[in-house]
Amino acid sequence: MTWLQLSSKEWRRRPLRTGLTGAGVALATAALFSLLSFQKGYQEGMRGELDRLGAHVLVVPKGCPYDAASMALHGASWPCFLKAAYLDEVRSVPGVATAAPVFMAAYYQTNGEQVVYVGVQSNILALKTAWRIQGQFPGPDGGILSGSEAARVHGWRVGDRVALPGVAQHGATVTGILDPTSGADDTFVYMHLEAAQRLFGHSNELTHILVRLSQPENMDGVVTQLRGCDAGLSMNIVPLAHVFHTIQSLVFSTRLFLGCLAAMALLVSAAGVSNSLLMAVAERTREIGILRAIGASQADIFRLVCLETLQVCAVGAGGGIVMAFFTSRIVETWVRTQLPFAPTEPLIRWEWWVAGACLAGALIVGLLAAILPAARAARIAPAEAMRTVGGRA
Amino acid sequence: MLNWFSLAWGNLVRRPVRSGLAVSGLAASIAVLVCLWSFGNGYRRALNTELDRMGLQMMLVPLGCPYDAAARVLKGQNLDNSLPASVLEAARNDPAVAVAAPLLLAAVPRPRDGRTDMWVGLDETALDLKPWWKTTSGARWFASEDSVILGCDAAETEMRSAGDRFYSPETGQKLQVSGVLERSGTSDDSLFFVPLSTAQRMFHETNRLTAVAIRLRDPTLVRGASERLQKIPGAQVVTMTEMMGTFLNLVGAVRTLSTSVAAVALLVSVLSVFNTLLATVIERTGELMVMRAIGASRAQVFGLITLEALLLTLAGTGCGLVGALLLGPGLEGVVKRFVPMAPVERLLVPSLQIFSATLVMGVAVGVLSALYPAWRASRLHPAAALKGD
Repeated sequence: MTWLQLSSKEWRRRPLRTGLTGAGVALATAALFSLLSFQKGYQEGMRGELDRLGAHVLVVPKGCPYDAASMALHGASWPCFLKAAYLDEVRSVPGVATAAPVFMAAYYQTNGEQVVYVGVQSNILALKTAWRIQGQFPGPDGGILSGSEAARVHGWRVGDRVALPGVAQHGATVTGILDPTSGADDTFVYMHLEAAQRLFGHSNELTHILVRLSQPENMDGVVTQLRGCDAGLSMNIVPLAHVFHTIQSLVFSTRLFLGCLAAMALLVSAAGVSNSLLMAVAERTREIGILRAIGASQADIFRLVCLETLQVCAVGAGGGIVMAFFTSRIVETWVRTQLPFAPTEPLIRWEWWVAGACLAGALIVGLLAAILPAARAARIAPAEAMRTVGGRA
Repeated sequence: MLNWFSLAWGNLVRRPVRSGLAVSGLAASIAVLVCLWSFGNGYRRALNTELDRMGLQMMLVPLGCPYDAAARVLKGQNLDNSLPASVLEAARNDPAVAVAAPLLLAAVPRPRDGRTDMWVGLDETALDLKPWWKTTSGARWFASEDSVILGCDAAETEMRSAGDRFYSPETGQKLQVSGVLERSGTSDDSLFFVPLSTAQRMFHETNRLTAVAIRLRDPTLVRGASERLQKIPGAQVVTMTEMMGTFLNLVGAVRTLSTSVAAVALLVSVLSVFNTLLATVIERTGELMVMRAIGASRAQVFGLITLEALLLTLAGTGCGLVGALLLGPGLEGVVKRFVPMAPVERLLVPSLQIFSATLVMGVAVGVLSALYPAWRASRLHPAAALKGD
């Protein structure tokens, strides 16, 4: 206990230096923590998003921009369409459990907010098993099922007769509201497929088909058959697992790179810690000499200096992690603007093991940084130290 | 002036470990920052010139996720779908198409060696698109139907050079090595190239293609041509502009993220420099007070500490720049493996602009971190020196 008090006293003596050294450790740890939890959050966010979509295979029109999968996930106006007749062909392929036709259209309101209308049939419910609806699923003659966020923004309640934003001349009754799904569905406005096709003047056309397989393991076989059917040459069959893998491998390949950079930041901060300790040891040559003279062993001095380092690193790393957590909203908003395919879920999440790993990493690096100054302090000869005034470093 | 300079230098050298640590931290972060910076510029430039040289405007790929397909073809990976050969005919018949080069890619897993060999079938139109193709030995093109051209890494692992016989046990094909490609640092290095018809026979893909690379007579015809080619059954068009946009976006995103992490490292090293200077001032309180007592002005003391800071950061920046030059090629190798469509050229081109920007940054950092310690030093009272420690 006395050693602990002694070591903490030294840091209080030079608050500015200690603060700056700790800040260095904190910054590096914060960077490491944000990166690690972001990687994890991104991966889980992607998976969650695909799970919520509920489909194994996405069928989109040929000649669409390459980001069709992203459009289906996040909502957009489609520039090209599928013939409704293709749906029967998709359904007739063995291994297809559900083929849910979708017609999607997006409108920008005057305030820049986007409203996404999605026309579906009731078989969409077979895909979206997590949906809980307050009210009823809309029928072919009108009515809308609003996502929770969309309903909140517009102040809609079940049974209300409302004007549809973007297509103001049309009104509809809100027949149901979705419970929050924490996905893009929250901001969508669902209606019956026929109603949507009528509303947007694209009868017998679809934007995409969501396909759920009876046996997801047999994905490759079904995809080959889908590509082989008559309509197969005019539509794009996108197995979502592939999309997931492609994006994942891209993210994964950057992980190593970014991790190295963060580790470098930690090393730089270790150099700073080492430096501060060297100064502290040099300044206290006399004091350490006295400690030695009154009976402290070399090991005691070594331990004292290591203890000091650990304290600064622990406080710095802890502060860094807390800082990273509280600034995660801002960091995330910024990262979102940089990344293609950002899932809607929070990307940076609190994970105990990530926090633990960062803390452990900082402490290990700190201990390494302490070796040189601690060894130097331990070698101070008591008699000589009494004679010097400033000390050497 | 020289005296002040040598005084400042002497003070730094007096504490070699301390100054060394501060300099090395700064140098490391500067080196990484410079590498990232010049790499980002180099990639964009190299990608542009390479695409220009290839004169490629679009690619026909099989249906499926087009972005995925294009990325795989360019990285030399197998696709899960193929094009019928009739697509090539249709593309060549289009009035706007100057060159349509077919490609067939096939992966041969070699589980015992823990790797996968990639075979590429080409016809002579490929040379129009890759004018820089150079072989270190042997001919530039296939001597016969049963010829193979090896990427330099492939030649090394197979221990073959031009003229040697080559047997592929998986396909049972006997081949003769026509040439070995010069090292380019791209995925070409590890590929096995054979004539298209041979590849189709070897991999039982008669009349199938993986992709068709297309050069137009006039690049401005892209819009009309892509609309017509889009109608070819079973194929879809991916234009290079679309693809490059995607790649630049991805690489740009990674670059921004990594630059910000490097900036954090720089900030940390600046804190360290600041700390070092502050410790110097505190340690030398007596010395500085004596200087004041024997006639040094406040400005001179302030200047001395600032000079020390400048020397320290200049040393750090200098070491960082040298480090970037030394570290660069190694880092480039790593980065090229991760980046989609890594161009053949060197990406890390040291440019004067980046170097001068870094120097300015280094000086700014030095001056900023010196402000407080220098101010503190200049406020020391000369009279206190006479009273003793």
